[in-house]
Amino acid sequence: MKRNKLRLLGVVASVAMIGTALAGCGTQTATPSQSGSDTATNSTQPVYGGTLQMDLSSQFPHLDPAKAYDTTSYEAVLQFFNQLVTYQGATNNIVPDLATYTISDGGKVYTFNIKQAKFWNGDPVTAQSFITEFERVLNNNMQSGGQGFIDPIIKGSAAYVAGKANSVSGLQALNSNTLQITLQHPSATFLYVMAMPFFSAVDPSYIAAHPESYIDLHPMGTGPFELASYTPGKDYVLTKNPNYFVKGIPYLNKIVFNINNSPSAVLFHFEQGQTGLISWNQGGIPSEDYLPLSNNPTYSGDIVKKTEVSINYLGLNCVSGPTKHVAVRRALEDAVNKQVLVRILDGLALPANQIIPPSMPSGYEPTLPAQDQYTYNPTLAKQLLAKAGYPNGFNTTIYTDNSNPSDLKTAEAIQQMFSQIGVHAQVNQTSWNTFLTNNETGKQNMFTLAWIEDFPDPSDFLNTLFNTNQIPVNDSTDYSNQQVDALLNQGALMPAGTARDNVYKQAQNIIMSQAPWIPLVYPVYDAAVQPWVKGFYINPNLVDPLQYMWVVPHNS
Amino acid sequence: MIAYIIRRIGGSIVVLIGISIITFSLAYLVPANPARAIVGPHASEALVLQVEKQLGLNEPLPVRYVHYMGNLLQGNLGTSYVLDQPVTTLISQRAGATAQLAVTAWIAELLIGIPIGIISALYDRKAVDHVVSILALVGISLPVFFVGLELMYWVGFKLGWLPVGGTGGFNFVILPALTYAITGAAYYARLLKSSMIDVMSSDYIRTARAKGASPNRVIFGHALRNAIIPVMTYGGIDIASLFGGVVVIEDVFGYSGIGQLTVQAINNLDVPVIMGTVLFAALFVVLFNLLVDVLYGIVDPRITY
Repeated sequence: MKRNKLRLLGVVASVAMIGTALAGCGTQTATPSQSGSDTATNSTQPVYGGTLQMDLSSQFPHLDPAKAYDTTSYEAVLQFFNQLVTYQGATNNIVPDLATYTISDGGKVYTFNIKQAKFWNGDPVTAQSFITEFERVLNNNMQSGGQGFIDPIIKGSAAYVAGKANSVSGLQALNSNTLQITLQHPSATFLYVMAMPFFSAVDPSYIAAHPESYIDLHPMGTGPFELASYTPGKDYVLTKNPNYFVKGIPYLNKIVFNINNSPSAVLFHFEQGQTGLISWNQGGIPSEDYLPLSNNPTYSGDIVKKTEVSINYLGLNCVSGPTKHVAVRRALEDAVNKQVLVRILDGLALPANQIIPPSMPSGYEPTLPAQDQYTYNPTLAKQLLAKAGYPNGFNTTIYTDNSNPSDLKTAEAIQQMFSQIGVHAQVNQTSWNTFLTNNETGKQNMFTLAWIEDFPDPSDFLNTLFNTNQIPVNDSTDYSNQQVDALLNQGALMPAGTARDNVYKQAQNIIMSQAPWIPLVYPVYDAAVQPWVKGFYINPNLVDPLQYMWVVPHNS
Repeated sequence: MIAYIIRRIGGSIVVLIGISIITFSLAYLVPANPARAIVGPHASEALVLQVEKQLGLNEPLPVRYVHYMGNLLQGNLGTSYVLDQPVTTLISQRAGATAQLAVTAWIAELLIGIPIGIISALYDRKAVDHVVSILALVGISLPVFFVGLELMYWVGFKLGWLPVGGTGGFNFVILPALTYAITGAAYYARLLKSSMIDVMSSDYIRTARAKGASPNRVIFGHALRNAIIPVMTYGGIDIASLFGGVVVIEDVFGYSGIGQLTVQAINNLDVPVIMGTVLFAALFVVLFNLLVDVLYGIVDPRITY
């Protein structure tokens, strides 16, 4: 998904300055290790009971799984709802959640056997619980971001979306607890899609009895925690589901999300021991709080890190402006010093040299072919630019949006780097909506953007961002290459494995040689976990594993 | 008086309509289609078009404005693009918190500002006045976020007397209100001081003194009543803007008020919420201005309408 953290900007710059000064370490430079552990220590036996408090950066935009499509909402939705399958621990492995499964007919037919489980109101989970949700996601009136993940993948979905059928032919309840899903074509990524919150079990009778606007605020799920109360502007209180279908969890009795988006207050609450966790509830540690925490010996040990399966990049339009020439784009690649960008991000990033992040289980290339390797060399970049017909450089604009404070800093650093080779760029920052609209109309010749995986497969990066059929929405540099399209379309139908991985690597090699993007950095996700909070880990595809976490007795 | 109030209310409605037209045009002149942001990058073009239609974005601007105003007259301010909830609900959820903060902050400001203004007027150019004036200057000069953070750090974090940030009961209001009062009280003090000095040198004060009225009676019964007029004018604007939300303070303390809602809406270009919060703030400015004008007549019998 495209990155858009729903955070308030306001006076963050000033707050950051004061926050650092208060910690007494204003001049110290952070040098965190990139390979920090991604799990907190779990030495004790789980303890039942207790409350975990967290500060929440904004109200949850959606609690309805069909509508939620941002990590803030996921933090709640994944506590309230279960899917057919999910990810195991901190890994990318798919394991049964509400259902075990078998795959047949060359990967086209999935049969899910649904476990004994109940919604909070006592209604049983059946095959229809999923069919109802799939139909909701496909229904245009729901405005669900999940539609494109199953349409036209599931057989008969297109007819249902177009209103030509009353049901989806590929979705069949063989009996009350057996769901059969038939796909148009085999898909190596379908189980990953089934692990997305969009495709949760919902109670059909509850859905039928309430308007959508009510459901979005009053979830009825199967999850480990129930929504006990929501006081607008103040807090969400979650209580343990005593009848959760997985025996023995959750451990916590209660979770309280206090709405508070002040980075300073978030820091103080953690240091006071009032909150146990700064993680997806804030979209990671607020950037203003990272240095005060990591420079303070008392708290530096509480920080947990993991390289995200995501990338920040500079898009270069391939059909207009000077960047329509491959030679110009290749010259610009050599002008960017990614180490500087890593420093700007307080070290919370790795320099990027290709599209697929190293944290992706497949598709990353440890060694790139020579023509895909770019190293920071402004002298060479200037020569290449001259050869490309721009000995005096050119004027341009770098577009960026305001949803993430570090994007502007990145854009300004690149502006500086480009000026060294005679490319004079203005930086234009707009709101996220304006940015998206302009991006889709091809008006933004150069832009900073991030892509976070929807699931851990190279197709989610390469096919979504470079296939000609994704112009202009996701392929917003208007990059188009028949050979790449052929490879991507071929990979989409292949079973998972080395042969498929190689197809994606070939595609990436061609793309990198034509430089529609300058890969900038792979962001590192960070969280702060109190020593008395146990069981925490970071799964690259999910949010906080609150049902597996517990608190041990402590003095705060 | 009644005729005057009716005339003023009529004028206020025209002002509000003007504000709504300007905000509406500005908000929609920015090229931004919320449909794609709502449904995400994997949605089909057909779904995006459908959402645009549902939001009424495919109509020309004047038609949309007429629809908007039609709905407004029925008390419907539209639905947030981001949160998918009625704007009236979002505003009313925060109005209580904002009103609590606004009234507390305003009273705290007056409690600090007015006594300082009287004292520095009475001791004009004496040591007390210099000390108070310097303090007032410091108060005016300090950035709001700095005072807020210092209070948050010392009173909330170090001493643990009050909540550090967030929204809840009255406890959560004290520090943000104090921040506003410390940085804002000096305006009242300075206004009151200069008008008090003017009034204190006027003939009727000399007469009152000559009649043998006690100093307290002279100051509070005669002088303050006249000197307070400019303070009332400023106070009306001040509390009106407070009701519209205190952006920086709400941000520093993570206080869920109208100000925060407005800033979030602006950042997300959530036009229905921007429209709603702007009109809400404008309504209070118009309302309090009217109230102040009426109060003039009550406080100062020389003013009639």
